Amino acid sequence: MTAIEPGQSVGSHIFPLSLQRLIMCSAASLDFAPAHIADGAARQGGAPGAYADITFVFAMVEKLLVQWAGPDVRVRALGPLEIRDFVLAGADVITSGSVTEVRPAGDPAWTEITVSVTISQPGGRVPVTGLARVEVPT
Amino acid sequence: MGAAGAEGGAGTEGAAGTEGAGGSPHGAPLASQVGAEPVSAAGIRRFAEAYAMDCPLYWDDAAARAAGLPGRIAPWSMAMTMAMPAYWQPGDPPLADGFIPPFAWDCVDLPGAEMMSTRVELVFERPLRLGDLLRSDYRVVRVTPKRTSVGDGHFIDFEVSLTDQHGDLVAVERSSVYRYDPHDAPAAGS
Repeated sequence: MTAIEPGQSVGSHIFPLSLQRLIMCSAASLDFAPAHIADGAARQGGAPGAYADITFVFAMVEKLLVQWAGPDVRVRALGPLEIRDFVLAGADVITSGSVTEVRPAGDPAWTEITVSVTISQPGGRVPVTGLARVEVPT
Repeated sequence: MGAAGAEGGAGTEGAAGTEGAGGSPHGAPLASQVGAEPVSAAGIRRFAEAYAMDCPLYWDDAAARAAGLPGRIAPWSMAMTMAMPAYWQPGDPPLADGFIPPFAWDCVDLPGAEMMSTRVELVFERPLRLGDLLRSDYRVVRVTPKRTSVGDGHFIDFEVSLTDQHGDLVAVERSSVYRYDPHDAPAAGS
């Protein structure tokens, strides 16, 4: 990996999230809360429709980090992430980010990097913002 | 577990927070749970398949060993899934219609028909490996009442330590959930 500096983009990742795919992900996460499976149940709780769970949010951030840093990346922290709105089924989920801090890790063979991440959806919605921390080979 | 947005962040306004049933985050846990099953290759496959995760460390033991690991690892975001207890096991009553996941925060005695997450953080000591069986110890850090755009309720700040079958720490989750009654719904229990 070339030199990493604050401000550098870590790219973006697009995950098309149909209701069917949300159900598949919720089941894989063993989260059978009705709001993650059925629009009606989600609306009863005040949401516009079925929405993703926290594990889905973690997974989107992880996918972005692995896509950018490669498979050997050591994830140190997913978050803190502020959940500002629902990550809704029926629209793409776009995860993007940029480097905010680079410093030596405890092991000199590794460098610790903090990344600012954002999850957005069409219509200008930004349901999730926050940070993640990884280590990559120096 | 809901990922949703209440107006404002956890504890951004409203009444001052109060210590919850768990007291200090370093005190006795409010609740403890053990994952329904240990981390397995089949479980990793099902998770990685749904999320289309192609990292070879999740699929290929040889690739993981080449990276200095003892064998394949689970996706990092799979931690809370592996910490979930079983929904049902022999001897339990039949699952009721509309059952919800067996989250420990339901042990907190607060009103509210709905629950959503507002802030989360998962900090890792190491990746999950095959055979890991997670125990999660829940502690309440703070409870803050608040009225938001979706209802009236309480923000509850949790800290959850995830340890393996040897008692060694694997990860810590810090989260805030909003437990509430929607504005246009009758209050729970009424």
